[in-house]
Amino acid sequence: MSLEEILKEAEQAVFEGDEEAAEKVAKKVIDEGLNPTDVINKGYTAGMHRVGDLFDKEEVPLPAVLIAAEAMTRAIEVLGPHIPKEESLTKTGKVVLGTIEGDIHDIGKRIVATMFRVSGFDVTDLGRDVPVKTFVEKARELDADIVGSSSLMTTTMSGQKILEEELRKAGIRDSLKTMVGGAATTAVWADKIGADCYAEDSKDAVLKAKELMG
Amino acid sequence: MKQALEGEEKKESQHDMAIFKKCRELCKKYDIHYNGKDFVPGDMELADSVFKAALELLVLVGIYCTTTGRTIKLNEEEIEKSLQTSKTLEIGRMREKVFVPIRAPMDKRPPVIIGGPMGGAVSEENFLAVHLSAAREPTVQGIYAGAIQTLGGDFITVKSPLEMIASLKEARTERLACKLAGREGLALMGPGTPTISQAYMVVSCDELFSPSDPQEVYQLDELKTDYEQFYKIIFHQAHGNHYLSGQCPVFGGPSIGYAEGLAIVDTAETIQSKVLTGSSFHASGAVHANTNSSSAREILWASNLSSLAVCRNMNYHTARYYWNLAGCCTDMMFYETAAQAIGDTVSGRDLLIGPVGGRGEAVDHSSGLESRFMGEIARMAAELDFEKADEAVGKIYEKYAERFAEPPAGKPFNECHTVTSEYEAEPTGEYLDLFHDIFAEIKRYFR
Repeated sequence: MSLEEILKEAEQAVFEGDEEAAEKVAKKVIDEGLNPTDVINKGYTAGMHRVGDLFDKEEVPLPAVLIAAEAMTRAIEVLGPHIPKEESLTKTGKVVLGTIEGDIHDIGKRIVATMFRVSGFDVTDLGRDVPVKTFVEKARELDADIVGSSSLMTTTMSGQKILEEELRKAGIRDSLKTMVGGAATTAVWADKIGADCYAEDSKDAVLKAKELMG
Repeated sequence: MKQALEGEEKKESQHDMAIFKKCRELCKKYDIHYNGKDFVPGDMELADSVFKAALELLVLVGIYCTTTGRTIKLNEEEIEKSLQTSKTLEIGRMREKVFVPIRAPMDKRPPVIIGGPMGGAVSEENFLAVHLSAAREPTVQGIYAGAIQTLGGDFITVKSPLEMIASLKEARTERLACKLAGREGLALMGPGTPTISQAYMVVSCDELFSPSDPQEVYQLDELKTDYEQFYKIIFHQAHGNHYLSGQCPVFGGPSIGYAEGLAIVDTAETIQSKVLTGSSFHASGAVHANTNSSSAREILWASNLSSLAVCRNMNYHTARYYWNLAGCCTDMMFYETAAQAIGDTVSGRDLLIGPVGGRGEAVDHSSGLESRFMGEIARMAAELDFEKADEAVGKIYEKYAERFAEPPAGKPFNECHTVTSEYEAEPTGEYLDLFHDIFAEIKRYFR
């Protein structure tokens, strides 16, 4: 099978969210001694971008993107051990995301996390109701490039201000960028608390994250 | 509770994906299909299919406890034996006691109207006036509390004892609003401010939230729960309190990609409320992921179908939250309310709650006048059949369908009311004129 055919199969497997097909292709890649990094970056990732584009246009729902991501993950599990140490998967940046403490809403944030992954970011999603301390510790541990916090309730958004302060106290604020989002927040709020940017939705978040990465 | 500790362990994302995939299968199995056009479906077979699908979803996927990461499985028998059990629902006290009937589809009795900010953001400064404006409306038969933004001018530190103090201040102000309006005993629902169960429960007393004032137990969305809900459930059951369980499934979120799936999940969550949470009634507030509003086309269809499914197959009271996108004192806010109230009334909902503007996040976008509008539209809609209701909603929807991307921000409470004293807060002339104009317009759609 030619490399081109394998890339097409890999892309389609992810696009259709077919985990078994994705695994089958991955095994072919190993059997035929092809470069796994190439197939991931040009095959599977192309499938993620296709489904991500359709999601942006609201032609497929979010679960379709999540299913595609599962197929991609399955493929990477198979290929991962075969990636030469000197190579690495292209990553746009490391992002730590979470819904701020006290707030249990997280669907918007999960959409943002998914679209970050589609765009090649390495995302650690801390979940919902995340203490500020956890954001700071994780950002330090992972040497994060971006820390994003979401708040859907005006009663919890003060946590985003505290996060800025705690990142500064921890001495890591200048080594990363911060992003705020969630229905309670605005660009004015981001400016007020010293966050680097505000993102209105997942599309805006990816755009601004790429700008922040330079 | 035992299963929350010992049930099958899984990741939350697995639970979400299981719901999505199972709903897809169930739609095929039961031939549940949304035509993309209807707003108020009157197909009883379809409604019954949605109910069967919801039962199956609940049995197969279960309820996920986020605290323990385990699944609570319900078997068909324990669900079936609970469905038709009957409890009377009376809310409020003294002269303000209200008997809430279980309505049928196309029931001539209008739903009970619950005004107030419904958990939406309310400034400390305007907190009394906003709730007073709801309490003064004769149409309003109860008030759903708002979330007070500050305490003594400062942000309320979440998960701190300050939440309890804020919750008490909130409840006392709401009670005062009822007294000033001459409506001692008016039902309160909430509280709206807390995030922790201690702050929810601290207001549970005869002075503030009595057993006749349904207190909120917010089930997590998409068939989930957590320990915070169990703390409240056990507390309320021990004290014989009425409590409501609310859920706002998200259309376009990780579990629900299609309108059909939303109808099934909304119905399943209603069953969850009765069978697992044991609440006095269920309040549904499905929203669209893109806008956080409850007035989008798919939401209307799915919520109305779910209401129909529940009415026909369960003995249980249901309510609906109105998360409007536009702000108060705008035509769009009134249109959104009308579209929802017509569908809810005809589809058999028992209580309508709100509405709140600016998705509840814009501060002070709640008014008694909006609740008055909701109540009067609901009263008129009680005379409609499904076909006429669907036609009317279609015409109303056209008035705001293209405005989701840039809804009018409207005016916060203090800009569309004249507050002259703690006894007097009247809508401005501009606001009243808008109310009358839109009401007259909607009335024409009923002919």
